[in-house]
Amino acid sequence: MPKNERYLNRIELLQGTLDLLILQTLQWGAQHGYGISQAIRANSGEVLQVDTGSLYPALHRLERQKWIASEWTVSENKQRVKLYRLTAAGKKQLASEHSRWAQLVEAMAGALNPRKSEA
Amino acid sequence: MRFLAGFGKRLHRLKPVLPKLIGGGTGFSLWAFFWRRRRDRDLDEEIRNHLRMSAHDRMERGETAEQAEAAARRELGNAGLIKEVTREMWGRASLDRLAQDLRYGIRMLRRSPGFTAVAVLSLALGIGANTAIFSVIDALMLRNLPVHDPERLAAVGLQGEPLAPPFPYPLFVRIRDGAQGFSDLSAISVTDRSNVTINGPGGGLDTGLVRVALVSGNYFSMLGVQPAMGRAFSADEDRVPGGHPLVVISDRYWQRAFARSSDVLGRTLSMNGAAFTIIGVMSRNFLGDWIGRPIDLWFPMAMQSQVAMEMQGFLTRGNPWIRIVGRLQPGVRREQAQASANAIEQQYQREIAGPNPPPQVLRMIAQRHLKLFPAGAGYSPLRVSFGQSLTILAIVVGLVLLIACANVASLLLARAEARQREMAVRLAVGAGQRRLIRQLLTESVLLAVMGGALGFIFSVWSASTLSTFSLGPTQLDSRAPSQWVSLDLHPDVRVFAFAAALCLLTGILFGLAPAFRGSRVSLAPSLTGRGASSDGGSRFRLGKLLVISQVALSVLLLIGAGLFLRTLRNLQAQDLGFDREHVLLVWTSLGQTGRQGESVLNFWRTVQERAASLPGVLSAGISNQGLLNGWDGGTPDEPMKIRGRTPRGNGLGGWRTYVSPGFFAAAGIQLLAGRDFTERDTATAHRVVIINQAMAHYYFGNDNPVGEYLWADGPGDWVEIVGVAKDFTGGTPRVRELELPYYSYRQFGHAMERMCLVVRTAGNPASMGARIREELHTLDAALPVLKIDTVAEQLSDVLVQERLMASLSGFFGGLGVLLACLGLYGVMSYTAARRTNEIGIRLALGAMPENVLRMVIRESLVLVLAGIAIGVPVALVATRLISTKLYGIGASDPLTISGAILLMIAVAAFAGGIPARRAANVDPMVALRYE
Repeated sequence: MPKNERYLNRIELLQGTLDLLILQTLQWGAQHGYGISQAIRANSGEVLQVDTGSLYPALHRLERQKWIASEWTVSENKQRVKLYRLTAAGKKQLASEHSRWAQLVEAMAGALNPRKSEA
Repeated sequence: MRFLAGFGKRLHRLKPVLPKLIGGGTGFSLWAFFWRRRRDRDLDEEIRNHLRMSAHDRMERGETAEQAEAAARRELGNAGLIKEVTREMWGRASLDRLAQDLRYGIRMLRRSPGFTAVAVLSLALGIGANTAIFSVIDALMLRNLPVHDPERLAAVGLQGEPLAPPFPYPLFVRIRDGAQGFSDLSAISVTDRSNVTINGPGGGLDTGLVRVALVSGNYFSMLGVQPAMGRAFSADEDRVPGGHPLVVISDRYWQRAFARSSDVLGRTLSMNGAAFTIIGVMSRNFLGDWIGRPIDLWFPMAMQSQVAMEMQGFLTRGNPWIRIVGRLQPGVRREQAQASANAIEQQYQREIAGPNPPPQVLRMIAQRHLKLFPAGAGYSPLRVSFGQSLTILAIVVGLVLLIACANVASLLLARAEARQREMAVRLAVGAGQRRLIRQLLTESVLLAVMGGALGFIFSVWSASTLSTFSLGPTQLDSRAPSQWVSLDLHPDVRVFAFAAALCLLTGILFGLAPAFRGSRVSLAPSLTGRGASSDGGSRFRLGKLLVISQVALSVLLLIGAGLFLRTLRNLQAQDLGFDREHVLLVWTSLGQTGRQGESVLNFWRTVQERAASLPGVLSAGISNQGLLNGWDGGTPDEPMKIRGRTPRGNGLGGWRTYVSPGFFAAAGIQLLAGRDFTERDTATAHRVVIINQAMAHYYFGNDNPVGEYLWADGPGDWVEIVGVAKDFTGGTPRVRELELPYYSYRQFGHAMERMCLVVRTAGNPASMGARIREELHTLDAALPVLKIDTVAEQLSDVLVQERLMASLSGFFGGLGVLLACLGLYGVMSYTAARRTNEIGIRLALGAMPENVLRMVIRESLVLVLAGIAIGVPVALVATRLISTKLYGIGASDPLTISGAILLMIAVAAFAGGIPARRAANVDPMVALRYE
């Protein structure tokens, strides 16, 4: 994977976690694709790199699942942009993804630190 | 990375709610399909925006425009690929997915051509047979006439009589002028003519049969049909008897006699010297309102005496000969118009009865009620004579289709077994069960559609065969040639829709269970190849159930077929009471030539003499009823009056026959007592009659009837019985108990319109046909010869329905058995294969191959016997419905039933024997290593 060399100091997103990040980002308001990728990068302290090749498929998939909705609007500088926003179903999904993430972290911690669970 | 990837899998399991990549489809969405392009453009713009914003940010951070743009592109990566992947997230449009399923289905079917061929063929036969029967039923019973608002048409009939009887014309005039509720009322009469002459270039005598209708002037406007060329009659063109020599010809006749020449309007054709001007050509799709008897020529009712010369003056006489059809006024119910017409009819009957009618006549009038019937689907006596047979056939072919469906279902089940691993793989890579079911259903509907397409072609061919074979001459008119009845059977939208609906229905019917079962696969055993002998038991039980029901249905069909075959055999073997080997029947219609009185008698005398003097002819006779005319004699209403005896019972069904001297000898009918008619029995001589054996027995018991007198209504006189003829089959072989008084036509000299010349030959009678036709032609070129038949041909015409039922039920019974055996073979091969391991162990432990053979055969016999145990009781109930169609045999005839059972067992033993032998020949070593 030569492509990855460029992002050595960044972590590839696990499958599924991108969804969580997108939903999380949209919690604060409607945003366009580029804005979402910038927000994720900024909020993770430049660690998480969102691959555009994953972002747009994820957005369209989430939209199809009706967790997010989109509409075309005109921005301040008079340009047509597609904004995504969280739906009610998306908000619920975000909550359950949160708790799953917590489970995963716990499970990961257990798996990486077996002694702890013995103690 | 690798670690994470592995973890990702587990994560996937932790989060089953993550979008399913495959098969999360929603319903059919045309929107998704047609707006795809727009979504493509939106996606392009979205990615462009992304690039622009990215570059914009970089420029704000101080990069040059070129640098910023290049970096943005680099960061984005392969835009085409991104769009491609994103598009996939939209989900396939349903149509796309269907196309994919279809492609995959076709690939799977092509991979197993044997399976596909058997499945498609059995479905084609099932669907084809059903479609063929439906198209006949549709054409005969269901389809509306191609007229304006057929729902408002009503035909005048009598209560309690399914077929409207003919009415006298004066009654029609009264109802037309007096009844309330009709906007139009027309009279129709259909006759067959064969002496039409086309005048002008390319014309001449048309010796073929022409179907002619006499109709009221308002007939076409009442129906609301338009001619394709020229005009139809106007309402007042039937007012002056003999005063409207006009004719409208049909599209078919235009083709037949004028080769569609455009100058046909204004040309003339002649009948019996009267010339008629052609004023219109009817549109192609209107064939008259008599279903199965398409009209060639329509004449105004006023021309009755010119068109039908043997029925002079019928416009004013009380003879019944017309049908009455009308159109109800908007908002008027049939019952209202009916009450009005009935009152007029009652009044008419009372006037006919005279001032002081006897009480029984008054009673008869009071019991008679006019009734209006819906007439939108036209008129056809075939519905009555043929409806029941068609219903039975519809049930038979329905059963065949069920067997075919069961067959395909068990084939699919066996295939589902074989495809378990494929299904497991597809499930493992993430296809949902719904998706698999859809795929499997697509395959079965595909099979059904292929079967249906083939079946549709098959039905178009077989429906026309069916209609000429079966509907040929009817029992109402078996003296007419076989092509006489013709149904309009062109495959239309309705028939096509029926076939298509049948396809979908069967596809889902036989596909659903296997699809549900096939898609429910437990992954691990299937993938490791260890599942084969441990699960799938229930699937197999379903297969067995299917075989049992196939056997049960087949036994039912076989029993039915056996009953029909034996009925036909009984009727064919019936002693006809006359010489069936050396007799030729020549049916003619002299009445059409307009001959009257003495000239008719002389003509027939000459015909008889000339025929008898032909080389190869032993003798000749004449009868107006011929032999085997197909009639059943009707229900008896009144006994014969015998001089000096009290009337007995209701009498027997029957008819009066007018014969020539020598008729009995020519037909080979024995005279049991007394004498034949002679040349001395003339119009002025003492009036005499010969009666048949059944009649003699009915009225005289063991007394000798010769010398007794019976009352003859015709001349209104007592006539002396001079002879007793042995019973013979005058009508149909089904009915022998008839009263048939014979009179000499030379003595009574009427009812001569149609005559049958009975010729007894030394050799094969069929070879004399042409010679006799020639002879008749030299006597009178215009004499219509309706048909020339041997007894065997006439018998097969009379037994047309029996032959139809026997051959079709035999064919479909055989087909059902074949399909059931295919099913049995499939299931037995499959079980035997599954048990290869077990059989190997048995053989290795010392079981003899015979034991194995017996074991497998026993298993298939259990299935067959179970099917028989269900099928026979069902048959015992079901055959009661056909008991009126049987002859000389009970509906639960033990011989037929046991024959059907034995046949079923024998064929099944053969079908089950092949896999049994294969199982017995298993090599134990190979079998043990099998898994």
